[in-house]
Amino acid sequence: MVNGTSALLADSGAKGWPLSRIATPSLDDDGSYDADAKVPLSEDTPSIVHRWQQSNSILSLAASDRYVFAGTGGNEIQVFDTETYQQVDTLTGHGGSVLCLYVSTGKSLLFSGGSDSILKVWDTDSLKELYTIYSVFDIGDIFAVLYSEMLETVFFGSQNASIQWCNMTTIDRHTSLDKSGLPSNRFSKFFNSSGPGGKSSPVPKETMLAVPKTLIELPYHSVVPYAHFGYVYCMQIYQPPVHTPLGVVEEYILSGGGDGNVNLWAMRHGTFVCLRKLSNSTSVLCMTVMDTFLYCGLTDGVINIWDLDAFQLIKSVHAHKEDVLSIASFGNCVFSGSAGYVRKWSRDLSLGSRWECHNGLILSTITVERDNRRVLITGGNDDSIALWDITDSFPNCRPDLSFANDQLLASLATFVSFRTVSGSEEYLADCRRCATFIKSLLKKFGAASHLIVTDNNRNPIVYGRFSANASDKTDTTVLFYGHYDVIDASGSGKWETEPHSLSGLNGYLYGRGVSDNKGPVLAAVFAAAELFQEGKLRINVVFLIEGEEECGSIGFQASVSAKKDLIGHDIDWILLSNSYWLDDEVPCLNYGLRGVIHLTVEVSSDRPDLHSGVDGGIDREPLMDLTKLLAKLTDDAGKVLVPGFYEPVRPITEAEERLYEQIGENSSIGLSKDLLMAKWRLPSLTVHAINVSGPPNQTIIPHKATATISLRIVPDQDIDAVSATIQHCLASQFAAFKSRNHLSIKINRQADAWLGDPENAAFKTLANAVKEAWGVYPLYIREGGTIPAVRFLEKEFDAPAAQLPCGQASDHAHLDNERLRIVNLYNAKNIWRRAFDELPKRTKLTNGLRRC
Amino acid sequence: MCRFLIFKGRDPILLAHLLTRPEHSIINQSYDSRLRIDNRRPINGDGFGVGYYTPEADPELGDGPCVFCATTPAWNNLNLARLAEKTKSSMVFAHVRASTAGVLSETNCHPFTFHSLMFMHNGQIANFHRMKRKLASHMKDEYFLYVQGGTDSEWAFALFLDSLDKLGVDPSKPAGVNGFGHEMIRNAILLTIQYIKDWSKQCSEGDTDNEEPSLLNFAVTDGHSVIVTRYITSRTEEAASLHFSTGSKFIEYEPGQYKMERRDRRQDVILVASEPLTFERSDWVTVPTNSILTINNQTVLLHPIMDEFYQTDPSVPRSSNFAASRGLVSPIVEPQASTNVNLPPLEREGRRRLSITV
Repeated sequence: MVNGTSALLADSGAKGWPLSRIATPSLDDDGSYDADAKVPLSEDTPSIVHRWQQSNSILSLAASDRYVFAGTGGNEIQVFDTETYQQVDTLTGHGGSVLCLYVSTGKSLLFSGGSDSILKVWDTDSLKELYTIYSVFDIGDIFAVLYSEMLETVFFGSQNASIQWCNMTTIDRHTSLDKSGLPSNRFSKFFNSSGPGGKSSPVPKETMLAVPKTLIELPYHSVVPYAHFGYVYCMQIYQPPVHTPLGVVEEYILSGGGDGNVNLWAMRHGTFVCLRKLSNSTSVLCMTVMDTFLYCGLTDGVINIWDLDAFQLIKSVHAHKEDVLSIASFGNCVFSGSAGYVRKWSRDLSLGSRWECHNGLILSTITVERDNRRVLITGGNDDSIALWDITDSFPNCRPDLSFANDQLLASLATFVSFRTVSGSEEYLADCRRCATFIKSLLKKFGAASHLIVTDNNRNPIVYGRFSANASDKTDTTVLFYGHYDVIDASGSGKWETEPHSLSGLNGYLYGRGVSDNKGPVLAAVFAAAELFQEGKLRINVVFLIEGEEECGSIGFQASVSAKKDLIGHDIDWILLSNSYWLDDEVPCLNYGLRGVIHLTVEVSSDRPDLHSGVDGGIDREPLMDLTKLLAKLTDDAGKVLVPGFYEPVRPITEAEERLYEQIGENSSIGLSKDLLMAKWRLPSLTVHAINVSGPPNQTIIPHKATATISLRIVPDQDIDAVSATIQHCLASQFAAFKSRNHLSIKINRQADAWLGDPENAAFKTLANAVKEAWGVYPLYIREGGTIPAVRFLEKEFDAPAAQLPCGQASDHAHLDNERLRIVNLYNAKNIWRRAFDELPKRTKLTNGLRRC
Repeated sequence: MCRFLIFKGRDPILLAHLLTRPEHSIINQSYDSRLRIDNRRPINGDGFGVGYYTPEADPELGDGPCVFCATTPAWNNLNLARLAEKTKSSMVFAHVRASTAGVLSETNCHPFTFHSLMFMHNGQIANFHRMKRKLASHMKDEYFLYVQGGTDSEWAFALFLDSLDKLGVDPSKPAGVNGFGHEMIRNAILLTIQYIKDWSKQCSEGDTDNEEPSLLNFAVTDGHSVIVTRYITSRTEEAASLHFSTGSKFIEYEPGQYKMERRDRRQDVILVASEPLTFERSDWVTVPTNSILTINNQTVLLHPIMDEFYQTDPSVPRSSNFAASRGLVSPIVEPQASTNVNLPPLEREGRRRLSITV
């Protein structure tokens, strides 16, 4: 550090920095651009990693190894996990805006100061409050706080221009049990006065201060009354290199004030001594130190660079149009925040770029390093916190990303950016590029991978195989099925983010396909890839990722059957992750899906469309016939009258009944057992639409009417038998009408129901993996929908299937604002990783495939 | 003794939000003053004044403020309420008066103006009647002739104008785009205080021990910077009250109930007042005795006045005996400040609740 600093100094000297004030051209934040400036405006801007939207202004930020802390205008400190991007806690106790935060990494302490004149100390691991510290003076807002590890002392600067401190090693000496000294409680001539008639002033709200953990009254001599001649806005630790005039290894405190001064302080024999004053033209709102250089953000948009070695102003740059409210540095870069924009600068502030971060003032800016990635965090009065990836700003920094969760997010962002809408000519190219992307990703991770083309030139299937490479590998092989196509997101106009661009907000990822099915597919791919890269993959994992699932898997069956030699004949388990939890809280495993028969029923006459005023009353009308025919399908209570429609439904077993009871006990959905059974294990019939020929006005007799109908079927119904029965039923009813109109019935597509065995080894392995990831055992659920490929794959490979739902019930699959919670994605990866490690060979004798 | 209020904002404010609507607005302070309860005359009913600068720079309007004042009590003036509802400004001075010197007359109502400058005073100059002749002969004619009324406050303003003049600034000249500069105004105010202090001592007829101190809470502005003093010519007594509050917005969260919002660390709204306008405790900070508060652009500065009356240790108590003798403290019976330095400050000042109830 010390040697590095002197080298850097020599460097800067060689560059010949001007040692006088030279103002560079003004760079306005309102978008205007001065052509004389050397600063490119939009090149090299970082990408946003995540955004947390809050309901109050974000005034301060600090970070520990695990958490980001945000002080808000709502008197709270919000705590976020930097790994999962979840909000994990809200620290309450301040009675005013939390204006400053500071984390002592060595001591695992968080310090917070507020407009309630209170300083609080929290444990950054347990997130519990340790101390409530107050001053006996009327100090107003606390704007700046810092902790010196070397002096073991916390310093804070306030609205009344004072700096106070407290040595944490002796803090327990100042413990007070008497709340009456708190600024909100102590006697005040004004606030405790009575008005006319002896009416007292409103009593301060004491709720927040009910039971402060440990109350500390600051020793009243540890104060510098006029540390500045203005508010003390910011403080910084400065540890100079040994060769500088300050000499010894010591921690100094820099304070910046509304009077424009930066004061350099040292603790000498228990007194806080001001050694130097550096004078700036306007208020110093923020500071950052890089080596021996001090960068001061001022109210008029200027950033001053001071050399703390020579105590000399080296440069003054008009950086922003408005106040420079926050500043941070990392490596050789300086980041300054003002109204809406952050600017990134080289260390001499000669080169930079800017990008829009917030829809308002950027009040706080910090940099953090995690997993060798560097992140800039900004907080603004638009009530949001944004995380920016600034790793690319540091060419020497090569983060090892291969399988870190960040890389999973980065790959998912690319995956989602392809508009892979199936069944539309417009998106064919996107689908192809997406399939190639998955193939390349699998290959990069070490899998054998090909595209399997489907013969009718539909979207290709991506095949990938990770072969077991662990020293104790087995010959178990699993087939993971997923799809890369999505439902069209255009047209509704109700997306709050760009649907084909992955956006991170409040711990969720938003984007079309993120939950159905791109996120879950990538989680499984990364799980297998991780094990493979570590040389710990004990089983073979085969991926089949198709591109026509949303269109009924057209061409899938034929292509898979044709490529069976490639895919393998010895598949033990079929795995998939293409459904959702029952609610937002409890993880689930899915063991059943209903089948489906889609059909179209059409009644037509030989005549053209007619006018009801001219021709009404002559003929039987096709639409009347169709509606009468549809009416025959159910009775007045809604019961389906198709003969044998409710048979043969497999009788419920005791074991299955218990699964329904567990759902009732553990889930918040509030659906009765009967309702769930009606949705999952009983057949149903739906009339989706009736369309007519001719224009839709009230004088037309259409010559043709068409109804689209679907039947959801369940084990042990035979799909072909049900299909034949419904057709026969419709035909015979229609014949009884003795109508001159014609009936035609068309089966559009059909897919078998699937029922897994929740008792088998695959479900047991997944259940244990879920317990490990989520801390609870999963609920076993079925679903009323249909995934055509599942039952086909079971039959084709003679292997039972198991499904792990990845996302939550509120994921909005197929709807606007589709999303996936990041922690669900990470846990899905962890669950698959464990499952791939533990899935046993199927003993076909005892755990044979149950007939559906 | 009077009450005054200063507002300076990044954006203009409707005067009603300062003068009439808040529960403890300056008009309500005129009959419900908490920090100044005079048992004989518990109200500031001897007139009022409001001065404000027009928001838009308009050459026809000039750079000076508009002042509206009357000798009727502020709570009884319908025109004040009407004007307050329809006037906006980003720099406002308001004053309610309880006369200590000078008769009831519009010429005695604060704020006083001179071209672009505006001035208010809360307090009284000790021995003023004895120093008046000295004062008059000290000043240049134009400032001597400026004085219309009979208050010590107006004379203090004239002395301030003369001090500016002596520092090389012509106060009758347009102040320019940035005014006279806050350093210049601060120096002129310090010079004014210095003269008053000196003359007061000279006129005390040697009986310094029993002399009353002067209470000099001055507020002056050139339309750009504001200088407010909280000052007493005593080492042991407390000056007349002065509080300030800053934040991003002064919002009415319930009818009559206002609070200072802090959505950022800027001082978009700055209020300085003899008494807080609200009962939101954490919104108001006491200006330390014997210091100068400066508003420069939208930034508050605080400078100590380091003379023979300054106390370096902020925990040394000042007594409110003098203020009490003038009827200037709250009606709540409060234990006398103790001089025992071994006691912690809150106990010493009687500010712990337990010790109050004992």
